[in-house]
Amino acid sequence: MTTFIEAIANVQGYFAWPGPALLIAGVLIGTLFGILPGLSGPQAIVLLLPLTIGLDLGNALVLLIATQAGTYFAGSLTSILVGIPGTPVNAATILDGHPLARQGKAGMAIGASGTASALGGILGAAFLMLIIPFAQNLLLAFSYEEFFALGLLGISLISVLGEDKGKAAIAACAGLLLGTIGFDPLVTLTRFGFGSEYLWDGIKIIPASIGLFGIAEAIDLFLKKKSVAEVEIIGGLKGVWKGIISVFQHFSVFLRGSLIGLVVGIIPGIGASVAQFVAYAGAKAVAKDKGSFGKGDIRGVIGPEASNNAKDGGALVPTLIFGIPGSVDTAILLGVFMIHGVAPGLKMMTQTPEIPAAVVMTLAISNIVAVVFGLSLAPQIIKMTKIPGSVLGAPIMAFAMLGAYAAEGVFGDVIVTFILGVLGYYMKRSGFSRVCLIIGLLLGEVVERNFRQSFMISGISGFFVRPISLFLLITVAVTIFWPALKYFYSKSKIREVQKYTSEKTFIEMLLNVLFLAFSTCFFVVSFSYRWEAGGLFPRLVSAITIGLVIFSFIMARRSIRTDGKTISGTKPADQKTTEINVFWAFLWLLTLVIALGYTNYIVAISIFILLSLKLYAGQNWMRSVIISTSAGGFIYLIFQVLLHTANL
Amino acid sequence: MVSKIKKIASVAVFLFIILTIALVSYGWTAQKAVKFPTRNITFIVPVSPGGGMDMYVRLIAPYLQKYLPNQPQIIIKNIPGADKAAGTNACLKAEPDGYTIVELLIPGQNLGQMLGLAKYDLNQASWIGGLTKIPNILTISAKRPERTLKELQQSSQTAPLTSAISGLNSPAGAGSIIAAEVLGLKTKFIPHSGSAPAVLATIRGSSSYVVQGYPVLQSGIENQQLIPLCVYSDSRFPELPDTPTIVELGYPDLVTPFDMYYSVATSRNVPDETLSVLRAAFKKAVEDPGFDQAMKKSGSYAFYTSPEGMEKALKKSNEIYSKYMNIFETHK
Repeated sequence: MTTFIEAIANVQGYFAWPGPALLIAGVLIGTLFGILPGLSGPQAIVLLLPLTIGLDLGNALVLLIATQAGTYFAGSLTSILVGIPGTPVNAATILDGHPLARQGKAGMAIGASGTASALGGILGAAFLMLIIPFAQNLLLAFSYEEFFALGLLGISLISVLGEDKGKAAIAACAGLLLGTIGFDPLVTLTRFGFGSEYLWDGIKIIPASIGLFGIAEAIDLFLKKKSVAEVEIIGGLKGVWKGIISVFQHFSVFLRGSLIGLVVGIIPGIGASVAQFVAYAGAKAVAKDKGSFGKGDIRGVIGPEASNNAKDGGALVPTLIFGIPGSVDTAILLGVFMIHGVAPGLKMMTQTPEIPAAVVMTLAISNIVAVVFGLSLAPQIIKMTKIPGSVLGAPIMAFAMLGAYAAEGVFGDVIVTFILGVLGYYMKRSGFSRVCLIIGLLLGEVVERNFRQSFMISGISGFFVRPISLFLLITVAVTIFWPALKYFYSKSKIREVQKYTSEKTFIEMLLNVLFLAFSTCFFVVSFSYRWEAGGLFPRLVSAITIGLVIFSFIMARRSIRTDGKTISGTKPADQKTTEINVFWAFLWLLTLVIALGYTNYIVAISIFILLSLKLYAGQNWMRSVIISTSAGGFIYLIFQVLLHTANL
Repeated sequence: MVSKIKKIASVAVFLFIILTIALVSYGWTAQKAVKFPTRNITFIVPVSPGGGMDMYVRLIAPYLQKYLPNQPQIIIKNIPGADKAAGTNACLKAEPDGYTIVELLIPGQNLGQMLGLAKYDLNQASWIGGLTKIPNILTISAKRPERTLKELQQSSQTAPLTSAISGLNSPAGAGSIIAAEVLGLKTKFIPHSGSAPAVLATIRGSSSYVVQGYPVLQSGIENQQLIPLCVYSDSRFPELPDTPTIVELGYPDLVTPFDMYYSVATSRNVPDETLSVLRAAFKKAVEDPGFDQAMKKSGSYAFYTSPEGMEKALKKSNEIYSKYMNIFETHK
């Protein structure tokens, strides 16, 4: 493997002309795809695939890896500025990045995100370089039991999220249940599919993240009428510089985020989107003052963004060592290797070490180029946070819906986005952690599948006789029970913090009823599957959810009694009009959903923007028509001409 | 109050415009094309980008364009979802004008239909032809002592084996179950979500053996992490000249369930003259030496199968699957 280290030094051959031009072109394309919600790395590199067939392998890899690397930081711009995930891996950045933008600190958030991204990317590349000699043994030491324990560890992190542990647990369980929807290859049946072909693939990450995080923010902005930045923005490079510095002030958060990204990336089959949420939870877990998270804490930006770019270093390990892709992006990359007549694997690593070396170098360099490019744009684009919400709100909602639709051109995704958008909006308002829900959704499958596979081979004992698995399980137990112990010892203190306002309690009650109905439904349906054939996990989780909801009902009643408030009757008058406005906003969005289902999407979105601008934002016809037609034209160019994502 | 009226008005105007557009666009699509092909052709890949199925379409597309009259652009469109059902239906239910074609994998997709899992009907498809035929290879984990199929058969009698499969409804998965029955390999099957984790589990030794196509096994075989015991084919696999075929080992019946035809089809209702244009161009494309070269470079090869040949392959595969349907049920 020393040859590999040597190859790193001799890699410049791959960066001979047109290498640098391709790298920059890739970063630019990646940036565009990253900024647009719903479009991300896979679509961009598929678009470039035909081009790469004509290039030699080195140049093809430079172009594709640069494109992929360009999407992450660009995606965080969308997340921070408008609150929609630019790519599925930037959803966690919204949680604190967008509140920062609201405080006029978009520049700082972008600076932090950029620096964390670039350094995370370099760390990922360095890790990839260092681990390649040992990677084979490391990967083979992890089997079903360890994957199960790692998944469980990720889920156990939710115990540090959310002010209210009960609500966090309910949200996580709801996520776990949602994650059981879909085709189960272990028993060859679709669980909780209710005869729908769409549900075969389960609840997908793109509609889920756009709905839970993006729509919830967009509705907020749409109703607020004011601009994203509620105060004077800290403009220019000053804010950006502050963000860059903050990464070094919170360097342990950055390191932890990168490490989580690497570990999640290296495990084949765990979605790339998991890393960011686990990194967010990780940043919050060790913070002494957790209260500022979710309200614009820079650490909530640094953790996830570091993990995003670092994870690619990890994700390339199984692809390069075993020729086995762990994700869609690496599967496409593997295809490029094959088309050029190179089969990745140990043989390639020893015979042509300059190829993996070029991969490592490209990964590092393109991360830097992407961030330098993005940061130079920052002082200009943060000005958009001054546009009034009534003007910006509708186009953002429309682009969020388009993003959900464009990913695969499936109408079901739009419906899921809308439903989870409504859920996310109310979860946010009543303090149910959306991160917990999405971690449950993403990791539930990993935990359940590996548990069952291990159980099929070696029964329950497998988890306790393997040292790594046992160690991880003990860590899980500590993670779960430590906060629980702390909670019970300081019960009275925490109770004081939880002031129930009547409005919050009302929505909370409604959501609790919803979760109760939802989990009861799953509980009943789960009895149609034998316990050993996919029935156990949903039965267990839905039973726990029912228990938690009932417990929370009892607690809420008690706290209302001690507070001397009742659920109804104390709402202020203006509260009522707000509720009606929310209802109207969702109805308006629903019209767009229906329109997307029954007519051409470009026309539907243009008209939606036009009417919103004219009738809601009170813009004149001329301006409304210009904005909506240029939006339509832009969508036509990108989606119809460039990507052919037309509904047939 | 005024704002409320405005909102109601906006919804009404919006719905009206949509209705008008829907009607107009319906009128447009009702027009029929006269010559073929006069516009772009959509080539549907029913899986995500990456992987063999996607790669073969990308390699054949330029040659298909070359041999079609007017050289239309071939737009490759990945429509993954519901284990190939979404993409397959998108073609079979599209306007039957020959402008939408789809890649199908036989055997495999017919099993999905027979098991009642996939909601498409392959009887609604007309074959354009097959572009390659890939055999499956039985490989065991290098951590095991056996080095021949016979040894594996013997040791399975004393201690049952485990095998990682990529789902019962995949050709390799269903084939493995049939083969275990015929070969008398006592095996517990562990389904995985795709071929990659199944192969990795076998390299690791969690699974005793795995049956897959060559591309996903290549790295493991080259690095002696996986030992090939036999090729489920009637002729030896060029990349593995020392590995016996299953026919040589005395089980000729086991070729059919594993011979994977990557084929192209369109809707049954496409007019005959359009279909013959597509078929003729496809045949020339697959037989173009340039395509074979591109395939060989990526560790595969071009292999043309006529539409009749595809019909026959499907029928043979259906027969085998129906024979073993009761065994599949017990593995569910």
